[in-house]
Amino acid sequence: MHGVARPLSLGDPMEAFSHGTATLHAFPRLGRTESPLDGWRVVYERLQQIANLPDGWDGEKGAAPERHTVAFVAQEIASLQAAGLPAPTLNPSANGAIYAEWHMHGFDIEVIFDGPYEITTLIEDARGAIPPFEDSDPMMMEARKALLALASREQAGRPVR
Amino acid sequence: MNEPVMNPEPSPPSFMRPPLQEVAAGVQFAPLGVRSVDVAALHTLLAEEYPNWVDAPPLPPSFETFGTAPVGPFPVPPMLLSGTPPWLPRAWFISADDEHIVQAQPDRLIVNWRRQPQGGHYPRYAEVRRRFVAAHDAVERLVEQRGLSRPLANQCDLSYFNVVRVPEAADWSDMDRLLRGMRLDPGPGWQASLSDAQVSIRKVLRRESGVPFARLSVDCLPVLDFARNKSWALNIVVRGQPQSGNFGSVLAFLDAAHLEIASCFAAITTEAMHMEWEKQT
Repeated sequence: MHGVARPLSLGDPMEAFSHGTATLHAFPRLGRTESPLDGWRVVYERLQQIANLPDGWDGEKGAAPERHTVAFVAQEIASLQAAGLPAPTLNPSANGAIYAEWHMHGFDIEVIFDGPYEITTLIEDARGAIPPFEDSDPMMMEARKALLALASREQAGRPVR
Repeated sequence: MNEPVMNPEPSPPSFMRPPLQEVAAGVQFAPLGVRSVDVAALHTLLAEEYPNWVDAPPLPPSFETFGTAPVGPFPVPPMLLSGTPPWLPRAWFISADDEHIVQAQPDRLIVNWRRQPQGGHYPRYAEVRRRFVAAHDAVERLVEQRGLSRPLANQCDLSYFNVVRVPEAADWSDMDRLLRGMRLDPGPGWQASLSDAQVSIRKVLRRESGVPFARLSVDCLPVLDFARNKSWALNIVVRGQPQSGNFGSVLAFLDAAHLEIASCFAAITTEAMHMEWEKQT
């Protein structure tokens, strides 16, 4: 769909799995929640699940994520949380990569962590405010720009109290 | 090669009597598939300079990242790594005079110099670098003997830990005696003297392309020197990603970090301290 060699999970992970993504139906999704803090708690729990995956976790040749990849993702998502950005959905990939995904407010943003500083970012904005992007993004500069725009859109959509 | 852009000064400021207590040069690499028997073999290669050996808990992986918020690095919660295979301890190979240490674990190599309680002479960066190269060479020889992958660096750090005695008639909160422009004046509403204070300064270092790759961190905090004398700990660290995973890039990173730290140290400290430490012109 985005022209990259690896399978991607767009939208609902379960749906994406049926199209060949690494997300497994045996890999339970954690419950959705409305609180931003709860949202980040879910992200860390999800990363914990991913960190504990063994080799062959998908019933085939799925690689367990490398310890350094997990540590790097943990630091990057902590940085996103500290910046007040929306929480992603995390998914493992059969090649050991970890996907962080945001699909909301017209954005499809995927950040693929193949290892420390080995990051590919894919950005699609249905509203056209942010140009499409699909390339290496080792410091997540492009991803952060898009996430800031996403956060602004989310903020604008909130009811005034 | 597009090497790191840090401080452009060709030679760093130097002091005859720097207040250094410890220097550490380190590299983190993709985990090597070593076993405990390999750690023993590594010690054999290094035993002439480091005859003593103790074990310490392994360090978790750590990465400098660059986000929209001025934060990090974050310690990775140990629980996140609990599912990974059991890890070897961090081996400390220690020199007979107790001044030099090589720290080795499957994804780290660190070389330290530390001042002894009775004093001693700082052997300078060149000696720390020589020992780091020798230790890395031993690791390279070991992995070659064992048929393992060569170390592929993903993070480097150079750390300088100073301890500066608080001058007479001064206190921990008088940080302007040590650091330029750090005079703390809370105003009359405070209604008490400051008991202590600490400061943290960060600077992002960028490549020529403008992409960030490392961070310089300065921390100044109150400590008791030998559990008696009021002192400031002044820690200066450069940590980040080398240009590539090969050892040449690791050394280029450390050399540039050394220049950056030495220049930073001279820039942020006061002239009065420079005189005490005998700054060289």
